[in-house]
Amino acid sequence: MPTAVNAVSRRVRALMSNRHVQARFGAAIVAFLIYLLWLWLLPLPPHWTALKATSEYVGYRVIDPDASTLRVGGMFGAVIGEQSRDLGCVNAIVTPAQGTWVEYRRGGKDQLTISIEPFAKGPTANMAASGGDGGPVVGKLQLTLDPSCPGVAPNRFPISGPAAFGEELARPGATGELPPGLLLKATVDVYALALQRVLMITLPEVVYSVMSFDVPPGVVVCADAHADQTLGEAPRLPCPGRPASAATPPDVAADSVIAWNGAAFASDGGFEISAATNAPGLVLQSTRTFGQSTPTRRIDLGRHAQVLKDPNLLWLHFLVGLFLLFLQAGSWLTRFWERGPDVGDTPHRKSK
Amino acid sequence: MRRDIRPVAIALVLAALATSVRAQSSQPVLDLAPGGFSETLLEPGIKGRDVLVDPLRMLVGWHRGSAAGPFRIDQVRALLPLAGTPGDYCVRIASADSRYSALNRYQKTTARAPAMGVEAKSRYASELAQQFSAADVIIRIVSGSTCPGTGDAFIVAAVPPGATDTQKLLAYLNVRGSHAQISLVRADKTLAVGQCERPDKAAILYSDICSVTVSDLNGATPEALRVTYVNNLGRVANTDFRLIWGSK
Repeated sequence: MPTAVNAVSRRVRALMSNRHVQARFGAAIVAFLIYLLWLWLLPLPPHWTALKATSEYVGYRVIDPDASTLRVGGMFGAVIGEQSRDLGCVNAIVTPAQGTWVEYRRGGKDQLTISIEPFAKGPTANMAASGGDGGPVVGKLQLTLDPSCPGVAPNRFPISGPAAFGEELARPGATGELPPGLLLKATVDVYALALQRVLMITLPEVVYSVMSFDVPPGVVVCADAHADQTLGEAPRLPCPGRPASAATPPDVAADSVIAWNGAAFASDGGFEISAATNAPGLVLQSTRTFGQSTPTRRIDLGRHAQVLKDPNLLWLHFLVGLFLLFLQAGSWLTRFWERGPDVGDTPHRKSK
Repeated sequence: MRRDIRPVAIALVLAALATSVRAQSSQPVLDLAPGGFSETLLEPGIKGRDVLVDPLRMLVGWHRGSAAGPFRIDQVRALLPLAGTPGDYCVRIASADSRYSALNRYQKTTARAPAMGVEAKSRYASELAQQFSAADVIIRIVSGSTCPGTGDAFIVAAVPPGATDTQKLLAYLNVRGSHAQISLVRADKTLAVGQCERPDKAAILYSDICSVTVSDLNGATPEALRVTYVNNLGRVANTDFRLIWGSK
């Protein structure tokens, strides 16, 4: 065996000492580096992430108040603020203000709350009541399903903004009852548009599946905008949530990058959620699943998948490879035709 | 003519007497105190749902000042006046991520001029200082001979290690799924109103940090910490926690 290895090693050394082979090898390395650079410079493909989930909790920051409007009936309203008060039964069109944090919670048939919390002391929502006695709401608004209230409770809930699906398991509050909040199951499907043009060649328009995976129950799913991070690193910011004490004011432009669009449909055991985002990254957040030191995992949805999954790019690779193979074969056949079978830059020929 | 009027007059007198007796018998033995008649009728709509049962599950901690630096358990202090206060207490020290928790009974010292410290014989003292910042550990001190205590217990403000900004009182509340507001009250009069927000860091132990400034009290001493929130029935509810007010 060592004899065979030595023989191969000697043959490779002899081959590499040939100047012609050296030049070809150098050219191949340069070509490969240019190819890698080209791959690196490829534009991020247009892609989207679809989330199908069953969750007891959805929260999002409003970027488009009109798209976030709710027709509320059969619910009891309460406002917590400097002048906390019960609003009584609410039968109104509720439009949350821009930048507010909207939460939907549902733990069962008889458990549904809608909560709207303003940033700092900003406006919360506008209520247009059927009796005409609505108006702006100041303070934190909470609407709770109450069968004794007239009207029909909403069944479809809009999601339009940076969102968090699910809430980490926490301790029950004063009633000893865990508020609805868990993400029970979810599937993420990522799709992208294949590379459409290379130099002068137009390629067919193809949508391909980048990846699909089930999300562990109990985690929080949200979108992330930090495209410069690599797979697996924790994001600088956790998932969006209620306004925090040290939070910066909401920025609509930044929010729109990580916005989700979709709806939550009330079911017996939570919400059935269908939503999509164009964000470049996805975050799964859970101290219980991923540990205390790195409680969040970021998944890059763009560039890495493109190289491995883009069907147009794969076909392009295949065709270029085939072309090079034929080129090499053609070159060899030409030489064979001209000089006979003993052709090629082999050390044997050189030694002659 | 006179004979005809007499029975009518007698009937009128008897009717007046009857009315007077009836009026006297409807006079209550307890007259309503000034302040009006306060009542609540819960609609039967939400069945099987109860209201608050264990208020102390809601109040996770009550601090004077913002904590700073590593958590050194031997530097926890209590603002407890010695005179006129109960003798037994329950102290809970827990980290925001619920990894560390200590629940212990205490007795007020008999020493004449003690330091305000809370004795801690933790075998994890050095680990706690290494792994937790003082801001990540929440302390709650309540009166009573049982642990974790009852809803009618008195609450004592804890001074966390490295406390700065001691003009600030911080209430750590677990009101997940609701909103909350705190105020300091005396004889049902609001002395100061606080503000509640989500914590900056993820916390399993509590959902809201509420702060109120001592200077807003204008020298008055509050009797209770009032937490206003939305209960399970969707109604605004108040829970008062009686305070033992200690100065630095």
